[in-house]
Amino acid sequence: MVKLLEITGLRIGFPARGGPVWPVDGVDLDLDQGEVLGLVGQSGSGKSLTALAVMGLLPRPAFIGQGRIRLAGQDLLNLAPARRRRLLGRTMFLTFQGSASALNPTMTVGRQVTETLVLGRGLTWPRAWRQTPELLEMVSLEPDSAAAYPFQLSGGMRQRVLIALALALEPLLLMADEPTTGLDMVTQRSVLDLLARQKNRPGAALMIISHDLRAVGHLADRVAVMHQGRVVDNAPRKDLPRLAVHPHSRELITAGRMLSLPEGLC
Amino acid sequence: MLRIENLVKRYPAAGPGQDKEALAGVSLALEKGDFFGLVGQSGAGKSTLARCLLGIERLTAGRIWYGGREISALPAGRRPEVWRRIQMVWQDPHVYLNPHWRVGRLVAEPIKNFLAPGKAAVQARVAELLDRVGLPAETARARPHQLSGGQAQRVAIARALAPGPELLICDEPVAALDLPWQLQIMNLLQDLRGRAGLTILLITHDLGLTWHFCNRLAVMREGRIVAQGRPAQVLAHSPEPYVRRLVESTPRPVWTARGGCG
Repeated sequence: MVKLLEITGLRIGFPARGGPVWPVDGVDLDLDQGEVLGLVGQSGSGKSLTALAVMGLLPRPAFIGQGRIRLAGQDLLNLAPARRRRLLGRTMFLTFQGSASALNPTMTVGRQVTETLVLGRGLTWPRAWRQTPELLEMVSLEPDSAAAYPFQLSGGMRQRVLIALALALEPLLLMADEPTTGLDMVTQRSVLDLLARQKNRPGAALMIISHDLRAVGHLADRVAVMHQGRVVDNAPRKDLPRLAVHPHSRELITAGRMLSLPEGLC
Repeated sequence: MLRIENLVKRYPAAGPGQDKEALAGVSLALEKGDFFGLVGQSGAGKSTLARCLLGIERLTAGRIWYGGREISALPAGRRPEVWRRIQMVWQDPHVYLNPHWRVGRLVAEPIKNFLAPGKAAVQARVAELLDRVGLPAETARARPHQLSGGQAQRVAIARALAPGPELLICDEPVAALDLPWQLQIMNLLQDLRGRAGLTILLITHDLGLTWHFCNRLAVMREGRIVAQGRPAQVLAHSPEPYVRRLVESTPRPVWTARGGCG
C-alpha cells in the first residue's frame, strides 16, 4: 500500500494568556491509497482542526506548532503558499461541516457546481455549464435543482451538492466532516453510498469525520478515535472492539452497540 | 392511559392548491409504563402529533383521551391540568433553556408555576430533581452555556419532571448530542421509567435508539402509522416495504458485517 497522507506529531495551538493551548496535541495518522478511514471523537477533540490543517485552512489565530503533514510524498507544511493552494480541490478536498453554511447562499446550486468545474478543472464556462446537470444527477438530484438556491433545498439535498462538488474534481484525498449529521437515517445511508464512489477510484482515499461512531458505517476500513487532541486508538473497523483500549473508545463502542440494531436483523 | 383516535391535522395551503395533511388519521394507545418509540423520517408528522397531544396545535379531527378523560376538547384555560401530567423534552436544550438563567432558577420555575409551594420547599425540590437526573447539586449555580449538551439535556429533563408528570414526551432528545451522551440520556430515561414509573413516548428518526430501550414501537410515514407492535415483531417481521427500508438504513454496530442487509 502506498501512503497517501501521513500526519506525524501534529500540534495545533491557539495563543492564550499564559501560553498557547493545544487542541491538537500530537496527532499521528496515516491514510493509504484506496483506504477509507473513519475519524471519530467528541466535539472539541480536534478532528476538524486536523482536517483543516491538512487543507491549509486553519482559522486565525490557530497555528501549527509542530509536526509534519505529507500528501502523496509532498511535505505540505514547507510548500510555498501558491503551490499549496493549487492542491486544493483536485488533490485534496474537504466538505465542511454544516451544509447550509458551506454553500454560498447568494448563488444557485448550478452556478456553484459550474464554478467549481471552471476553477478546479479548467473547463470553459459553457462546457462546465453543460456538465452540471450530469453531476447533479450523479448524486441523485433532479437536473432542475440547478436553479435552486441552497435555502430551497433540504439538508440531505445540500449535502449531496457538497459531494457533487467534491466528486466533480476527482480529488485524491476526500475528507468529509460530519457528512451525515442532522440527516435522518435513510438520507444518511444514501449520503454514505455516494461517498463510497470515492473509494472506487484508483489511488484515491476517503476520510469520514464524525462524532458518531455509527456514522462512519461499514464504509470505513479503519477507525481512528480522537480524544483531547490525540489519536488514542486506531484499528481496523472489524477489530475495533477487540483492540481499542482507551476508556473513551470503550464508551463509543458501548454506545455504538446499544444505539444500533442488532447484527442479524434484516 | 393515552388513547388517540383517528387524529387528523391539516394545514391550509400557502397558495392555491391542496391543504397539507400532516396527520392523516393516526390511532395509538399507550399503556402505563410503556417506553413507546414513535419512529419516522423528517416530515412524517411525529412532532405534529406531539404538539397535538399537548394541545399546542388544534386538531382538524379526531379525539385524544388521557386517563379516561377526553383532553382534545379542553378549553385553553384548562390545558395546564394536562401539562401537570404530560411533559415534554425537546431536541436541543441549548436552544430552549433561557441562557440568562442559572440552572437552579430554570428548574425552580415549573415547580413554582405548577405546584406553588413555599420557598424552602422549592429549593429542596430543585435539589431532589437535579439528583434524580444525575447532576451534582452545585450545577444549580451554572448557566446553560457552561454545560455540555448532555448535562443541559439533563437539566431539561429535570424541568420536565418538576410538576410530577406521569407521561414524558421526548422529541429527538438525543439527536443533538455526542454519541456517549446519547447513551447516557437513554439510560436515564430508562431509569426514570423503572424507578419513577414514568411512561415515555420517544419520538425519533433513529430506529437504532429503539431496539434496546423501547417495549413498543410505531412507524410513521406521511402522516400515517404503517406498522405497530413490539420492536422485535415490527422490525424483524413487518411486511411493509417502508419498514424494511428503514431497517436497512439503520446502522448495525460498525465492527460487524452488514449481515446480508444490503
